[in-house]
Amino acid sequence: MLDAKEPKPPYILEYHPYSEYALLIQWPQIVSENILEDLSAFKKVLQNNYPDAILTAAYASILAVFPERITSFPFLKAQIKKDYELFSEEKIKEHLDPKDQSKKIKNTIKKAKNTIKTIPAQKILYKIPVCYEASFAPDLEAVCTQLKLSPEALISKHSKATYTVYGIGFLPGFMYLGGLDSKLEIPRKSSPRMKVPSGSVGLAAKQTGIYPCESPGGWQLIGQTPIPLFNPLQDPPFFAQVGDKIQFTPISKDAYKLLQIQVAAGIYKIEKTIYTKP
Amino acid sequence: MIKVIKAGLYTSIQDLGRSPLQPIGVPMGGAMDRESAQNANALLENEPNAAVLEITMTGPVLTFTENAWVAFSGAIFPIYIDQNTASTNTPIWVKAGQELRFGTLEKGVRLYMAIKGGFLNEPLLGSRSMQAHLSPIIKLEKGMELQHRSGEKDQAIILEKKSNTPLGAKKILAFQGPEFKYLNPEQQEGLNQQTFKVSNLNNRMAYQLLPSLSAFEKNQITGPVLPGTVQITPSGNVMVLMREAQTTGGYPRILQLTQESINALAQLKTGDSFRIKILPLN
Repeated sequence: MLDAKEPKPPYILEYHPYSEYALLIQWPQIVSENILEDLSAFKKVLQNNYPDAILTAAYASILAVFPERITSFPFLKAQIKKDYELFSEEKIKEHLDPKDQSKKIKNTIKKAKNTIKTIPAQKILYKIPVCYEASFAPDLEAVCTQLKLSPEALISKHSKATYTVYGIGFLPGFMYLGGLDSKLEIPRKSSPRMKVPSGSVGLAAKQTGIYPCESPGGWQLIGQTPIPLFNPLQDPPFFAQVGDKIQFTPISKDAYKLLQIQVAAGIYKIEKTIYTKP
Repeated sequence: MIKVIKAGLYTSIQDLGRSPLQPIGVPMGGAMDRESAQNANALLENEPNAAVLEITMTGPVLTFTENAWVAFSGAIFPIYIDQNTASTNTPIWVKAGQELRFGTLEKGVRLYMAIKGGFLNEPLLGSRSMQAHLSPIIKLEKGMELQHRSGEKDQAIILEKKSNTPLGAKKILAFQGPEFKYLNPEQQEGLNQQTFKVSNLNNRMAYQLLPSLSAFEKNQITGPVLPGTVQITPSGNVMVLMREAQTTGGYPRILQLTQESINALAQLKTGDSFRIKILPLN
């Protein structure tokens, strides 16, 4: 949903020389689906134009790290600024029906003729099976009491939503997922656990997330997935990108065990579809 | 191969890390003092990314079962091969059956030991670096066997080459971070004039500095960070992210250390003091 104060695209980007090798590109610093969408699509353009750069995206920023020292930040900034202008013009062109195009926009499009090829900003929806039964959900009961929800209501709200990957960090493959039902917002545990098992699904404030490996952690644990999220022995080791979508599918204890066997046998494949806006 | 008789305080195998995997949350990792690790490799004409041993504070005891060229660079320890002393920054020929051990650390923190052709532990995600939450083993353990190619005495080596990393640096150089501008003038001044100390909270992920600055509350959205990023917590704690830091952070990023200064900080230990000099980056 568009906030009244939320700026609209094309956004005013800020460029901050970050290190000898890195430039930080910042969108307006707001948690917004629209900003994330614009950023994810532009990231593809950047990757195409600067194939050697490592681009790390999170919420409303992209950090571009280059293999060589950056010799001129003003030059690099000017180049990327131009890339963004062309990208934004292309985006306007795509989103407008020709008969609705005003003269001004037509002119802009004309100017943008020899531009970058449009790269479709396709997003993938991944479905992650989660068992919410007590033995996999050490905090579920306490969370339900605190939120005044029945376990069924909590599970239904948690698995109905479609979440957006706003960032990947904290641990290899740990996704910051936005889009949590406001009735499920709960603070972190007052004292974190020393060991959260791999695959644990947790709640923390406005976010939900999955621990990709065993680690200390303070999130409220309401379920567990049997599927390995991050596998360093696989290429690629991780499936999702910033901007992708995640849904949780409730499964029984028996289904959990079956999936575990499938994973161990190497025949499990994560369920994915092309995401289309509802 | 090399047998680990004693592991030392924190000895691990490191190369230059896994930078291409930052976008999926994998820390860069790799040698804390990259310059010294690369210097040790250069002495043996290894690739800069060849895997070396990172020896921290207390050295291991190692037995060689094959001949090998090795080279040391970085911190200063007395180094013994059987009864003989060995020097840093020059290649050393070790014979099968000889034992390598270290005396008490004299200066710096981390010493790098390269071996001709590099250590040959199994690479994981494009790197041989041992790393928390990723590698099955994150540091050397007693009884481990380290694989390498058997050495030939006439292999190409370089006689002498020094690491450019200072040991006991008094000045750490940094650029302004994206949130530096939100610090109040007193805090900005403090960063420039304060003498900082390395607190006892320091490891491959981060160094916390003392003293803290005044409290700093800023609503901040999670964003990307790098090794060398200096963050300030709401209570004013100053944290320098090191090589194994996570890839995103939610605290204001007030400074970014230069590459050389990350190496220099990796050679400072608890209680060492220094000042920060802020440089322009344009």
